[in-house]
Amino acid sequence: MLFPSNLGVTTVPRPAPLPPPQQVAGFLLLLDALGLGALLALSYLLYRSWSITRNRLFVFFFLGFAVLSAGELSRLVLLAVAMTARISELRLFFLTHVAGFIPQLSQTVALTLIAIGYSLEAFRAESLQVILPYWLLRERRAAFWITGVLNTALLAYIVVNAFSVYAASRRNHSLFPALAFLSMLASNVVLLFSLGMENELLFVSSKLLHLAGLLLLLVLAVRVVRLERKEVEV
Amino acid sequence: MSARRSKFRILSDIMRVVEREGEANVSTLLLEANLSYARLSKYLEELVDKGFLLRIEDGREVKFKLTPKGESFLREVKRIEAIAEAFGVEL
Repeated sequence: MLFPSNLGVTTVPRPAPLPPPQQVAGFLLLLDALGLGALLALSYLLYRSWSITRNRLFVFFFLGFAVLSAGELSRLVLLAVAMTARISELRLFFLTHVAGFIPQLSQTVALTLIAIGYSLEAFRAESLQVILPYWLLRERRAAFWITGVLNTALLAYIVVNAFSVYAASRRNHSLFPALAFLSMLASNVVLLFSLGMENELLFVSSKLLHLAGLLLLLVLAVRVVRLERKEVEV
Repeated sequence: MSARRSKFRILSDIMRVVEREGEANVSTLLLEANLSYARLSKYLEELVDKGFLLRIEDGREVKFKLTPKGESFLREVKRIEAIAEAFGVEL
Protein backbone atom coordinates (compact mmCIF):
# COMPACT_ATOMS: atom_id res chain seq x y z
CA MET A 1 0.00 0.00 0.00
CA LEU A 2 1.57 3.27 -1.03
CA PHE A 3 -0.29 5.53 1.44
CA PRO A 4 -0.98 3.59 4.65
CA SER A 5 -3.68 5.23 6.75
CA ASN A 6 -2.05 4.60 10.15
CA LEU A 7 0.71 7.20 9.86
CA GLY A 8 -1.39 10.00 11.26
CA VAL A 9 -1.42 11.85 7.96
CA THR A 10 -4.61 13.79 7.34
CA THR A 11 -6.03 12.59 4.08
CA VAL A 12 -8.03 14.95 1.92
CA PRO A 13 -11.19 13.27 0.64
CA ARG A 14 -11.05 12.87 -3.08
CA PRO A 15 -13.93 14.08 -5.23
CA ALA A 16 -16.15 11.36 -6.64
CA PRO A 17 -14.63 10.02 -9.85
CA LEU A 18 -16.28 11.21 -13.01
CA PRO A 19 -17.77 8.50 -15.24
CA PRO A 20 -15.50 7.57 -18.13
CA PRO A 21 -16.24 9.54 -21.31
CA GLN A 22 -17.21 6.32 -23.09
CA GLN A 23 -19.96 5.68 -20.53
CA VAL A 24 -21.34 9.22 -20.86
CA ALA A 25 -21.26 8.92 -24.63
CA GLY A 26 -22.98 5.55 -24.41
CA PHE A 27 -25.72 7.04 -22.24
CA LEU A 28 -26.18 9.91 -24.70
CA LEU A 29 -26.27 7.38 -27.54
CA LEU A 30 -29.08 5.54 -25.76
CA LEU A 31 -31.03 8.77 -25.21
CA ASP A 32 -30.48 9.69 -28.86
CA ALA A 33 -31.91 6.33 -29.90
CA LEU A 34 -34.94 6.91 -27.68
CA GLY A 35 -35.48 10.36 -29.18
CA LEU A 36 -35.15 8.92 -32.67
CA GLY A 37 -37.81 6.34 -31.80
CA ALA A 38 -40.16 9.12 -30.71
CA LEU A 39 -39.65 11.06 -33.92
CA LEU A 40 -40.09 7.99 -36.11
CA ALA A 41 -43.31 7.02 -34.30
CA LEU A 42 -44.75 10.50 -34.73
CA SER A 43 -43.62 10.65 -38.37
CA TYR A 44 -45.45 7.38 -39.03
CA LEU A 45 -48.64 8.61 -37.35
CA LEU A 46 -48.53 11.82 -39.36
CA TYR A 47 -47.90 9.87 -42.56
CA ARG A 48 -50.90 7.61 -41.83
CA SER A 49 -53.00 10.69 -41.12
CA TRP A 50 -52.02 12.17 -44.47
CA SER A 51 -52.48 8.95 -46.43
CA ILE A 52 -56.02 8.51 -45.11
CA THR A 53 -57.30 12.08 -45.03
CA ARG A 54 -55.17 13.52 -47.88
CA ASN A 55 -55.07 16.74 -45.91
CA ARG A 56 -52.10 18.77 -47.23
CA LEU A 57 -51.24 20.19 -43.83
CA PHE A 58 -50.25 16.75 -42.58
CA VAL A 59 -47.63 16.59 -45.37
CA PHE A 60 -45.70 19.51 -43.89
CA PHE A 61 -45.79 18.11 -40.38
CA PHE A 62 -44.92 14.62 -41.64
CA LEU A 63 -42.01 15.85 -43.77
CA GLY A 64 -40.82 18.10 -40.94
CA PHE A 65 -40.69 15.25 -38.44
CA ALA A 66 -39.26 12.86 -41.04
CA VAL A 67 -36.39 15.27 -41.78
CA LEU A 68 -35.93 15.79 -38.04
CA SER A 69 -35.72 11.98 -37.71
CA ALA A 70 -33.13 11.83 -40.50
CA GLY A 71 -31.07 14.49 -38.70
CA GLU A 72 -31.26 12.59 -35.41
CA LEU A 73 -30.32 9.37 -37.22
CA SER A 74 -27.25 10.98 -38.79
CA ARG A 75 -26.27 12.39 -35.37
CA LEU A 76 -26.66 8.91 -33.89
CA VAL A 77 -24.58 7.30 -36.64
CA LEU A 78 -21.86 9.94 -36.31
CA LEU A 79 -21.68 9.46 -32.55
CA ALA A 80 -21.62 5.67 -32.90
CA VAL A 81 -18.88 5.84 -35.55
CA ALA A 82 -16.81 8.25 -33.48
CA MET A 83 -17.18 6.00 -30.42
CA THR A 84 -16.48 2.64 -31.96
CA ALA A 85 -14.54 2.89 -35.20
CA ARG A 86 -10.80 3.25 -35.37
CA ILE A 87 -10.63 5.70 -38.19
CA SER A 88 -7.98 7.96 -39.58
CA GLU A 89 -7.69 11.56 -38.41
CA LEU A 90 -8.70 12.76 -41.85
CA ARG A 91 -11.99 10.86 -41.69
CA LEU A 92 -12.59 12.01 -38.12
CA PHE A 93 -11.98 15.59 -39.30
CA PHE A 94 -14.55 15.05 -42.05
CA LEU A 95 -17.07 13.63 -39.58
CA THR A 96 -16.78 16.48 -37.10
CA HIS A 97 -16.35 19.37 -39.54
CA VAL A 98 -18.50 18.46 -42.48
CA ALA A 99 -20.89 15.62 -41.71
CA GLY A 100 -21.47 16.97 -38.20
CA PHE A 101 -23.23 19.92 -39.76
CA ILE A 102 -25.88 17.71 -41.39
CA PRO A 103 -28.04 17.29 -38.24
CA GLN A 104 -27.95 21.06 -37.64
CA LEU A 105 -29.03 21.84 -41.21
CA SER A 106 -31.66 19.12 -41.24
CA GLN A 107 -33.15 20.65 -38.09
CA THR A 108 -33.43 24.00 -39.88
CA VAL A 109 -35.17 22.38 -42.85
CA ALA A 110 -37.44 20.34 -40.56
CA LEU A 111 -38.43 23.29 -38.40
CA THR A 112 -39.08 25.37 -41.51
CA LEU A 113 -41.47 22.70 -42.79
CA ILE A 114 -43.25 22.49 -39.43
CA ALA A 115 -43.46 26.29 -39.24
CA ILE A 116 -44.99 26.31 -42.75
CA GLY A 117 -47.51 23.72 -41.57
CA TYR A 118 -48.57 25.96 -38.69
CA SER A 119 -48.63 29.01 -41.00
CA LEU A 120 -50.85 27.29 -43.55
CA GLU A 121 -53.15 26.16 -40.76
CA ALA A 122 -53.35 29.72 -39.46
CA PHE A 123 -53.71 31.50 -42.78
CA ARG A 124 -55.27 28.71 -44.88
CA ALA A 125 -52.79 29.48 -47.67
CA GLU A 126 -52.43 27.07 -50.57
CA SER A 127 -48.67 27.05 -50.98
CA LEU A 128 -45.50 28.66 -49.73
CA GLN A 129 -42.06 28.44 -51.33
CA VAL A 130 -38.97 27.95 -49.23
CA ILE A 131 -35.55 29.03 -50.39
CA LEU A 132 -32.57 27.81 -48.41
CA PRO A 133 -29.35 29.69 -49.14
CA TYR A 134 -26.80 27.12 -50.26
CA TRP A 135 -23.84 29.23 -49.17
CA LEU A 136 -24.66 28.20 -45.60
CA LEU A 137 -22.91 24.97 -46.44
CA ARG A 138 -19.65 26.71 -47.31
CA GLU A 139 -18.97 28.78 -44.21
CA ARG A 140 -19.31 26.14 -41.55
CA ARG A 141 -18.56 28.16 -38.42
CA ALA A 142 -20.72 31.09 -39.46
CA ALA A 143 -23.32 28.69 -40.81
CA PHE A 144 -23.54 26.90 -37.48
CA TRP A 145 -24.32 30.17 -35.73
CA ILE A 146 -26.73 31.30 -38.43
CA THR A 147 -28.65 28.02 -38.44
CA GLY A 148 -28.58 28.02 -34.64
CA VAL A 149 -30.16 31.47 -34.49
CA LEU A 150 -32.51 30.59 -37.36
CA ASN A 151 -33.61 27.39 -35.61
CA THR A 152 -34.23 29.34 -32.42
CA ALA A 153 -36.34 31.89 -34.29
CA LEU A 154 -38.27 29.13 -36.07
CA LEU A 155 -38.85 27.31 -32.80
CA ALA A 156 -40.05 30.51 -31.13
CA TYR A 157 -42.55 30.94 -33.98
CA ILE A 158 -43.63 27.29 -33.73
CA VAL A 159 -43.99 27.50 -29.94
CA VAL A 160 -46.28 30.53 -30.21
CA ASN A 161 -48.42 28.73 -32.80
CA ALA A 162 -48.47 25.46 -30.87
CA PHE A 163 -49.60 27.23 -27.70
CA SER A 164 -52.23 29.11 -29.73
CA VAL A 165 -53.56 25.75 -30.90
CA TYR A 166 -53.66 24.58 -27.27
CA ALA A 167 -55.33 27.81 -26.12
CA ALA A 168 -58.05 27.30 -28.74
CA SER A 169 -58.73 23.62 -27.96
CA ARG A 170 -57.64 23.26 -24.31
CA ARG A 171 -57.09 19.57 -25.02
CA ASN A 172 -54.17 17.57 -23.62
CA HIS A 173 -53.16 16.28 -27.04
CA SER A 174 -52.32 19.76 -28.24
CA LEU A 175 -50.36 20.59 -25.08
CA PHE A 176 -47.71 17.91 -25.74
CA PRO A 177 -46.35 19.36 -29.01
CA ALA A 178 -46.39 22.85 -27.47
CA LEU A 179 -44.34 21.72 -24.47
CA ALA A 180 -42.07 19.63 -26.70
CA PHE A 181 -41.28 22.56 -28.96
CA LEU A 182 -40.81 24.81 -25.91
CA SER A 183 -38.26 22.34 -24.56
CA MET A 184 -36.49 22.28 -27.94
CA LEU A 185 -36.48 26.08 -27.98
CA ALA A 186 -34.89 26.15 -24.53
CA SER A 187 -32.39 23.56 -25.76
CA ASN A 188 -31.41 25.71 -28.73
CA VAL A 189 -31.01 28.83 -26.59
CA VAL A 190 -28.82 26.93 -24.12
CA LEU A 191 -26.87 25.47 -27.05
CA LEU A 192 -26.09 28.93 -28.37
CA PHE A 193 -24.91 30.00 -24.92
CA SER A 194 -22.82 26.84 -24.59
CA LEU A 195 -21.13 27.57 -27.92
CA GLY A 196 -20.51 31.21 -27.05
CA MET A 197 -19.14 30.39 -23.59
CA GLU A 198 -17.59 27.07 -24.67
CA ASN A 199 -19.21 25.47 -21.65
CA GLU A 200 -19.58 21.68 -21.73
CA LEU A 201 -22.12 21.58 -18.89
CA LEU A 202 -24.40 23.90 -20.82
CA PHE A 203 -23.95 21.71 -23.90
CA VAL A 204 -25.06 18.62 -21.97
CA SER A 205 -27.98 20.60 -20.51
CA SER A 206 -28.98 21.60 -24.04
CA LYS A 207 -28.84 17.97 -25.11
CA LEU A 208 -31.02 16.88 -22.19
CA LEU A 209 -33.58 19.60 -22.91
CA HIS A 210 -33.70 18.49 -26.54
CA LEU A 211 -34.27 14.90 -25.47
CA ALA A 212 -36.96 16.00 -23.01
CA GLY A 213 -38.77 17.57 -25.97
CA LEU A 214 -38.46 14.39 -27.97
CA LEU A 215 -39.75 12.34 -25.04
CA LEU A 216 -42.83 14.56 -24.84
CA LEU A 217 -43.45 13.75 -28.51
CA LEU A 218 -42.99 10.07 -27.66
CA VAL A 219 -45.62 10.39 -24.92
CA LEU A 220 -47.98 11.96 -27.45
CA ALA A 221 -47.34 9.16 -29.96
CA VAL A 222 -47.90 6.48 -27.31
CA ARG A 223 -51.10 8.16 -26.07
CA VAL A 224 -52.45 8.35 -29.61
CA VAL A 225 -51.60 4.74 -30.41
CA ARG A 226 -53.19 3.49 -27.17
CA LEU A 227 -56.47 5.34 -27.66
CA GLU A 228 -59.43 3.09 -27.02
CA ARG A 229 -62.50 2.96 -29.19
CA LYS A 230 -64.75 3.53 -26.22
CA GLU A 231 -63.34 7.06 -26.02
CA VAL A 232 -64.72 7.89 -29.45
CA GLU A 233 -67.05 10.84 -29.14
CA VAL A 234 -70.28 10.46 -31.09
CA MET B 1 -65.14 25.13 -37.45
CA SER B 2 -65.20 24.88 -41.24
CA ALA B 3 -68.51 25.34 -43.07
CA ARG B 4 -67.82 22.42 -45.41
CA ARG B 5 -67.04 18.96 -44.14
CA SER B 6 -64.26 17.02 -45.84
CA LYS B 7 -65.04 13.64 -47.39
CA PHE B 8 -63.03 12.00 -44.61
CA ARG B 9 -65.18 13.75 -42.02
CA ILE B 10 -68.45 12.78 -43.73
CA LEU B 11 -67.47 9.11 -44.04
CA SER B 12 -66.31 8.94 -40.44
CA ASP B 13 -69.50 10.68 -39.27
CA ILE B 14 -71.64 8.08 -41.08
CA MET B 15 -69.62 5.25 -39.56
CA ARG B 16 -69.89 6.72 -36.05
CA VAL B 17 -73.69 6.77 -36.35
CA VAL B 18 -73.68 3.12 -37.48
CA GLU B 19 -71.34 2.24 -34.60
CA ARG B 20 -73.57 3.99 -32.06
CA GLU B 21 -76.76 2.41 -33.38
CA GLY B 22 -75.32 -1.05 -33.91
CA GLU B 23 -77.43 -1.37 -37.04
CA ALA B 24 -78.62 1.82 -38.68
CA ASN B 25 -81.24 2.25 -41.39
CA VAL B 26 -81.20 4.95 -44.05
CA SER B 27 -83.73 7.16 -42.24
CA THR B 28 -81.57 7.32 -39.13
CA LEU B 29 -78.48 8.02 -41.17
CA LEU B 30 -80.22 10.77 -43.13
CA LEU B 31 -81.20 12.44 -39.89
CA GLU B 32 -77.90 12.02 -38.08
CA ALA B 33 -75.40 12.50 -40.90
CA ASN B 34 -77.08 15.65 -42.21
CA LEU B 35 -76.84 14.72 -45.90
CA SER B 36 -79.16 14.58 -48.87
CA TYR B 37 -80.50 11.14 -49.85
CA ALA B 38 -78.47 11.11 -53.08
CA ARG B 39 -75.19 11.97 -51.37
CA LEU B 40 -75.80 9.57 -48.49
CA SER B 41 -76.54 6.73 -50.95
CA LYS B 42 -73.31 7.45 -52.79
CA TYR B 43 -71.23 7.45 -49.61
CA LEU B 44 -72.94 4.31 -48.25
CA GLU B 45 -72.20 2.51 -51.49
CA GLU B 46 -68.56 3.55 -51.22
CA LEU B 47 -68.32 2.39 -47.61
CA VAL B 48 -69.87 -0.97 -48.50
CA ASP B 49 -67.54 -1.35 -51.51
CA LYS B 50 -64.51 -0.65 -49.30
CA GLY B 51 -65.65 -3.26 -46.82
CA PHE B 52 -66.26 -0.85 -43.95
CA LEU B 53 -70.02 -1.40 -43.79
CA LEU B 54 -72.19 -4.47 -44.27
CA ARG B 55 -75.53 -4.05 -46.04
CA ILE B 56 -78.31 -6.09 -44.41
CA GLU B 57 -81.70 -6.43 -46.11
CA ASP B 58 -84.45 -7.13 -43.56
CA GLY B 59 -87.64 -7.48 -45.55
CA ARG B 60 -88.25 -4.07 -47.12
CA GLU B 61 -85.87 -2.34 -44.74
CA VAL B 62 -82.18 -1.91 -45.50
CA LYS B 63 -79.77 -1.62 -42.57
CA PHE B 64 -76.04 -1.07 -42.30
CA LYS B 65 -73.63 -2.58 -39.82
CA LEU B 66 -69.94 -2.03 -39.14
CA THR B 67 -67.57 -4.75 -40.33
CA PRO B 68 -64.37 -5.60 -38.40
CA LYS B 69 -62.51 -3.59 -41.03
CA GLY B 70 -64.84 -0.67 -40.36
CA GLU B 71 -64.25 -0.96 -36.61
CA SER B 72 -60.53 -0.94 -37.22
CA PHE B 73 -60.89 2.11 -39.45
CA LEU B 74 -62.83 3.96 -36.75
CA ARG B 75 -59.98 3.31 -34.31
CA GLU B 76 -57.63 4.80 -36.89
CA VAL B 77 -59.96 7.78 -37.23
CA LYS B 78 -59.70 8.42 -33.50
CA ARG B 79 -55.91 8.45 -33.73
CA ILE B 80 -55.96 10.78 -36.71
CA GLU B 81 -58.30 13.13 -34.87
CA ALA B 82 -55.95 13.16 -31.89
CA ILE B 83 -52.96 13.94 -34.11
CA ALA B 84 -54.94 16.60 -35.98
CA GLU B 85 -55.98 18.12 -32.66
CA ALA B 86 -52.39 18.06 -31.41
CA PHE B 87 -51.15 20.10 -34.35
CA GLY B 88 -54.23 22.23 -34.89
CA VAL B 89 -55.13 20.63 -38.22
CA GLU B 90 -58.80 20.95 -39.07
CA LEU B 91 -60.20 17.85 -40.70
